Amino acid sequence: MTQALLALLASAVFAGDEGKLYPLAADVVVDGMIIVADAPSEHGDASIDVVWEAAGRRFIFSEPARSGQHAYDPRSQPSWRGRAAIVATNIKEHAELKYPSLADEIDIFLAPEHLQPSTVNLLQGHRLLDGSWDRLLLLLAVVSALALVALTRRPALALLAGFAIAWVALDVRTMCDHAATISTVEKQGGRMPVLADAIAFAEQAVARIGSGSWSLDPSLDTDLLAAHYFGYAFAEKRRDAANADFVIARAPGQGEVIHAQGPYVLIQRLAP
Amino acid sequence: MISALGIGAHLALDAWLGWVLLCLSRRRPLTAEHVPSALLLGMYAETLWTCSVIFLGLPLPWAAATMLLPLALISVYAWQHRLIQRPVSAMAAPRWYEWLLFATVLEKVAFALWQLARTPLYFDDALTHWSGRSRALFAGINWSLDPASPLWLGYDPYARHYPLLTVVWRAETACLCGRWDDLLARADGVVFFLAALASVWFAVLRFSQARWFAALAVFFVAALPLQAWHAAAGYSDIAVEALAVAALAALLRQEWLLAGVLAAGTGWAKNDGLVIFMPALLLGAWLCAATWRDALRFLLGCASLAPWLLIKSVLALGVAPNQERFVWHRDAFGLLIQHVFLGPTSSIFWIGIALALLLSGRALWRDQTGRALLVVLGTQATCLFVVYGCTESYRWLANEGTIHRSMLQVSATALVIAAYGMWRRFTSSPS
Repeated sequence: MTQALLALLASAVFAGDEGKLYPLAADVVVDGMIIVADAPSEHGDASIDVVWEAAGRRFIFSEPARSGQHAYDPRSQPSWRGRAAIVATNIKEHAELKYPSLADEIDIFLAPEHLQPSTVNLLQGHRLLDGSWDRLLLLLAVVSALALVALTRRPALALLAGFAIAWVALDVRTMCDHAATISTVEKQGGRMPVLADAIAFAEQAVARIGSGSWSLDPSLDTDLLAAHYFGYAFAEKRRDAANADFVIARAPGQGEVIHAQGPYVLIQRLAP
Repeated sequence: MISALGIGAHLALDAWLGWVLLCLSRRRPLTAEHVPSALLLGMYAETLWTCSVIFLGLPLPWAAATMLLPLALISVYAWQHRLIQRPVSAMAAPRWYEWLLFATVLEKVAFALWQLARTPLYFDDALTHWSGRSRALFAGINWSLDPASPLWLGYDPYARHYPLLTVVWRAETACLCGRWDDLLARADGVVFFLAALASVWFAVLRFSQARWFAALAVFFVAALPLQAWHAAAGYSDIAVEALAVAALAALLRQEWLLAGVLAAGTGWAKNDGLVIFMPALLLGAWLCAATWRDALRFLLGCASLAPWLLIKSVLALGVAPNQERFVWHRDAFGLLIQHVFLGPTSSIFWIGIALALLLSGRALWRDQTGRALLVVLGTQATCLFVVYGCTESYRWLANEGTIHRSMLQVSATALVIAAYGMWRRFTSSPS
């Protein structure tokens, strides 16, 4: 299918998302395929989005973008099966739908655990050869244990040693994740995913609030993490839900906007 | 720099307090294995005291200062009566596997320290329930003891029932430093991480007398991927983990009073301690105790939490909001298996624990202490299942918002119990 026809089909399927999604392929069986994309460095902490339409339904797979050419793996998604009418991604250039090579599989395995607000609750884990890394660790533990049983004839000790070997492999992988996290955050100048604008906003706003009182506008109800960050950052300033001198919001409201950063504004309430 | 000095000074004060209390409460020699217990004991006692005085109406700086007089008095008393002991330790030079262990633990600590130095406070509950409330308490502005005030116990209505160990500790540290920052908002996590590892080391070394086995046990706990994140996250789950394993270690040393106090500490760090750890450790103590006096000493230790329980009762602070209803969630067991045993957050840790217990179950059951430890672990598991399978906390299992943190709390105690079982198995099997 020519690029022109592909673009036409994409515009029909993803009406309203023009300029955000770029077609990769149409009428394709996606089983076992991955995306290789070259995310520009200014893609920052955004994600690679892969959107496809199959059986009249639209599906999306997102993964944090890594700067440079990397493989992204939707194979773990139950919906990444069968024939897709169209597959698109938010990377404008240098994105490809393909079957993975060994180098791609290794690249997928090396994708680091990304620091994000949910990291404290659960980890995303890793995949190797289209399988969970943890199941491979279990296999490593069992195989090592069986080999050691044959050598030592002591099942309990062999099982312990087998798990220790697998745990060493896990730990090495974890240390690589730590190194990648440090590298990513330092390269972005300490910019934290999702909260970067809120943190920068709060650093400036706290001085402007001074000895005044503050409150949060209901528009922040859809941005709870930022709202909680502001609650922490301004905890030493008087909070007054009813008659605050300053309001933090996501859109200008009644009063004078005296500071803005990203989507956040600091509004000084006008005196009655 | 000021924060680091303040944190160090606060820790030193707590360690001294805990050490003096240990010296006063026992006549047997104290060894290096009591050091982590002393630190945790000091943090528990000092923050509980301060909090109790705050609820009597004194502002934080004065409440914290009232601790200094009794500390000075008991220190002088202990000194005059020659009760202060130096920890006895007969550690040989580190072996090659201990150097490897040291390297991996150092990596985790370095990663945590990097987070503390280079990233802001970032995770949600730390911003609200823990360091957010702590900062409000420190400033005294968005904090009220008036139940009618919207700022009653901080402005987060969902966290009012949360206990205050880390909240008070961080606020006190800020008072010591004269200001708040994101370092002291989270630094205690590293302390709890190291205290947990030290408790595991000493507990396993005590019953196995095998340094390689103790090193392996510490490695299994330290390398659990979530540990390094929680060492600098600003949450209290790692505090519960440290206190729980220190309590278990004290139980294994048959130090009943200390075990009871540290068990109470889990309830002072987070409500999970009241529901999961205190009942389990109480049952374990009852089964381990040779006489009713030992069990009574454990209960006496638990009773040290009375001031907080009284405050909770008077102010009608429950264990958690809307937890009164029990609702059976049919798929809870399946979700637990899927998320905990097969998910990436704990990796193969719990599969390993389960296999270790399967292999060593008979050896454990034949041993009085082993039976008690099985009951401890079984009770913890049962309580966890009831919480996540039979209450509205099910949603935190379904969305994995809390379950892995609860498993982190249990991880060190489970590892020590599994290690005990495996050692019994090794020593009872024919070579």
